[in-house]
Amino acid sequence: MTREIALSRAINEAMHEEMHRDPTVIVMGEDVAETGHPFKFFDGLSNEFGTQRVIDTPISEPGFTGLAVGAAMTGMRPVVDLMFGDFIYLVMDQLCNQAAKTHFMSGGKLKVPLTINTNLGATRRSAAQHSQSIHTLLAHIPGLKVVLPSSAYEAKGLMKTAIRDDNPVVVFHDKLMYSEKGPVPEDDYLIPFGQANVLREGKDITFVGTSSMVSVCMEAAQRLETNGISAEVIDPRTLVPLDESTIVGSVKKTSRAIVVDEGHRNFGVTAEIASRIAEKAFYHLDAPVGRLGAMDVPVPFSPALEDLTVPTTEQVCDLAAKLCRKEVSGVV
Amino acid sequence: MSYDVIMPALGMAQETGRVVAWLRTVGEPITEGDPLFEVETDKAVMEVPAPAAGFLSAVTVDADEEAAVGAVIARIVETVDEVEHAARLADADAQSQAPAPDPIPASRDAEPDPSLSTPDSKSEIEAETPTEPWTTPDTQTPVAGARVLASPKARRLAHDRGLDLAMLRAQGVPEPIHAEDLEKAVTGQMSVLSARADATALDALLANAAPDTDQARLFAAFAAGAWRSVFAAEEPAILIRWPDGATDQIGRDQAVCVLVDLTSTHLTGYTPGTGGTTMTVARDGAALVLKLTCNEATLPFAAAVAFLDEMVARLEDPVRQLM
Amino acid sequence: MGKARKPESKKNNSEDYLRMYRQMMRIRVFEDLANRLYLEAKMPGLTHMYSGEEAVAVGICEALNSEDKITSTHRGHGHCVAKGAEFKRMFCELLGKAEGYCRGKGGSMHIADQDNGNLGANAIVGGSTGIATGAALSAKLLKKDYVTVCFFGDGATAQGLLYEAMNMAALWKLPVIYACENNGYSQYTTTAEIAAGSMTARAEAFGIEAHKVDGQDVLAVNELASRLVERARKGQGPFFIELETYRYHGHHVGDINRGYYRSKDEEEYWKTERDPITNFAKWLTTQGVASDSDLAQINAEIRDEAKASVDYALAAPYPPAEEVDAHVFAGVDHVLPYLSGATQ
Repeated sequence: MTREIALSRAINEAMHEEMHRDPTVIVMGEDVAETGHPFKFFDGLSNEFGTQRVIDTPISEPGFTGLAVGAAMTGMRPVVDLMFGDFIYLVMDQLCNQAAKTHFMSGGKLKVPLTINTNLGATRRSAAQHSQSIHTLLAHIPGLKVVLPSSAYEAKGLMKTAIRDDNPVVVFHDKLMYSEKGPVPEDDYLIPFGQANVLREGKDITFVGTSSMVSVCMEAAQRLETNGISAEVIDPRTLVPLDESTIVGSVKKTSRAIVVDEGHRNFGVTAEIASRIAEKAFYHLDAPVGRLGAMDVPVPFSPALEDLTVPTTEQVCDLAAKLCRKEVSGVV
Repeated sequence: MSYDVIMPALGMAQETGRVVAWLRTVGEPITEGDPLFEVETDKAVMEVPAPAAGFLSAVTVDADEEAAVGAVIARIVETVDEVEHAARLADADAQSQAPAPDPIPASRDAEPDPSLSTPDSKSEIEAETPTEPWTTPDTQTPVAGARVLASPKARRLAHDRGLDLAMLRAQGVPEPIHAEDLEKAVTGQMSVLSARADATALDALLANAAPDTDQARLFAAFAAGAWRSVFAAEEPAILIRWPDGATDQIGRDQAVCVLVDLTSTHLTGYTPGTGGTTMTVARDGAALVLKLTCNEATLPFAAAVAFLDEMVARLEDPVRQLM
Repeated sequence: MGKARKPESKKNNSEDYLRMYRQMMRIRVFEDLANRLYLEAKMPGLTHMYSGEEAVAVGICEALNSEDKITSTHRGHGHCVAKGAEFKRMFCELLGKAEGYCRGKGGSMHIADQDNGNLGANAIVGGSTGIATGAALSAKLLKKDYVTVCFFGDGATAQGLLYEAMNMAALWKLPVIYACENNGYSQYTTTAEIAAGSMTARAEAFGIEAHKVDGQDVLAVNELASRLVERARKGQGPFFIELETYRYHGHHVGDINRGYYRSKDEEEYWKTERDPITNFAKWLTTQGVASDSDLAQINAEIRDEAKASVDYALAAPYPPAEEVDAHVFAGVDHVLPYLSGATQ
């Protein structure tokens, strides 16, 4: 049965189901047990599975991530919670030098089935150290899989796939979407990695959006429809692996593309996807590939400034109109 | 039993080392670990200890000479009788100065070993990369505007349909040209206007002209004059197209019209597939037959009539052109 | 690796003693040949010699069984040999050959030998302190009775990760032993210049029982390690051991002119007065466990085996080119097509 539940609830269900299914699944992080995490997605887990499996750690991100890497190498499937994606900078050695390389450096003998549960997203008025979207940094590292759920449904299915994966997987939720409700089946379902979701078909332009930018793209597509522009919307779901053929196939059909991601524009996700489109659909392009990302400044605190740094529906519409060489009324 | 003394690899990216000095002489007894020679690498001088006990022998690299890392530069022998002095080393010399034996695949600056080449999957550029470039051949490129700006898709479609992007530009399609513009050009409403001009005066003028006068250029100059006079344009450019396909342009800006001189052929007219603003000039006895093909959108009927009529007037009375 | 054993009954343990001697000698011979391979430019990259510290690895690993885990360091050949690895596959790994422990993908600084419980050497100083502690967490959660020994040098005591890991190990009473090999030098700098206060006191601050032992005395190391390993198995861990030892070579093989940071006299003193193998050999002969010729025979056997292994490794093939993008992800044969979304 499918009901409407919040994204944080969907994560909670994924955790419950996977911890029931596999006794080696454990959760480690700050305030994950009794508190159930400040964002509440681990609520009830410690009551059900005990504090041996739902482990409150000291505020030692490198330390407990390191422990999780070692535990993953020796039979556990840890889910490590990094309360804010910004703390990834603290655990770069453990993630990038240790977890990502262990399988490779051991010639395939050791495995690190580790899930990092963390977040991205600005406009929560949390300033520059709690608002970053730095998923692209990890997508750059061979040996790490990077997952970007765009709804409650996606969050549950992708989390479960992440936990069952035999490799280090980093799942970034948009922290502004935790309370966003959406239809989620009660039953056990998995969403495979590397298979993009085409949310909407169109013929004039392709929008590739990630995480919360998927809904920005959907909104833009609806507005453009009334102006005679038909937009296709694709959610890649995972950056590593990336479902290139769905994206490239769509752009070959529409001849135009805009990539929207909340990471910084400079050298980011949008640059990578745009370049793959340019490489593989060049002779089908009728306009330059558009990119919208977070402004290349640290995220400001003041709401008046912070809102300027994130891609908006208006920007997507504007750019789409320009690329399609159409006047769009009532948009800007 | 003897031990090779080799030029050691001491730095992280070292290929050769220079012997600064031998600290023992050939034939001298040696204890393992004794400082044996000094080597300079990465601007540092280091003492290298003897790898074994015995007698120093067969020194082939003298002080101040360089050797490749891993090369044998001396030997340590067990008894004094086995000591070889440099004088007896003519044969060994070549061998010991050779580069390091069985070099490992170097991390950089080395010839890549083909057997170690990586699978060819790093960048699969779009499979349908054409064998010939899409660009218009040089002979057809207008002198003034170099490469026509067009989207990759428009370029591909133009190539597939045999359309000439330069012609589109000449007809007034703004750059960059998009796929949609091609559709318009092909399916747009085309008008064809015809006219006859008495060539008597022009023939008389040509009879007195220099023998190398190019008639097509002359017609292009007339067309430019007609355009200037009708539309009050400053320096209208005309793209000239000869029957053999060669092109050239008069004027610096984007061409407003293509002029095709057919007088040397039996043809009486030509309507371009690209649908550009094109004027053809053909010969019919004592008369010239003119045809103007144009798109209503870029050259409306009245303007086209005025342009063609002015052209005929100039051909019949070349003096107008001189005014 | 040895079984649990009572150290007081010396005569009955001659087999164990001889194995300890043999293992120390194996490390020394392995390192001598590895050093030579490097200097002769037959070995890619660079390497760090364990020579001089043999009693540490052997004394501890002889107190472990093959289920027990270790994590190792950039100076890791000694731990690897002591934990039961074989020469052939180690030399193959050092030379980047396909038959190496890691199919040539790890090299000197990353040998892992999972079958013998070696979770791998680590080229980030202090980088494995989290991993070792995590392995101990697994043991506790999975109710397995293995113990994990985390080897690291004095240099790693300057890394914050160690203290985060020790804090959690102490909080959760994990079966892990932190073995700090204090060889007196942190790369090219004396430990006194980089370490304030006492190392054991740092562990004690977390409530971790800490010991200091002569790392050149294999029997003392083994006796202490055996006691702590058994206690850790019973859930009385974690423990911290500071082992005073000495590295005969420089920081890495190319570091041969080190007069500017340590004297030849000092090196000479450790090599002649404190050598763990020479001193243990003396003890074995005076105790009547073995004769000089018995030991010479052992040495010769080890040298022959090592020499044959080097020859084997030099002749062994490199991994095929198509392995370059293998082993990036478990369950993915080749990562390059996978990254573009190709299903396996």
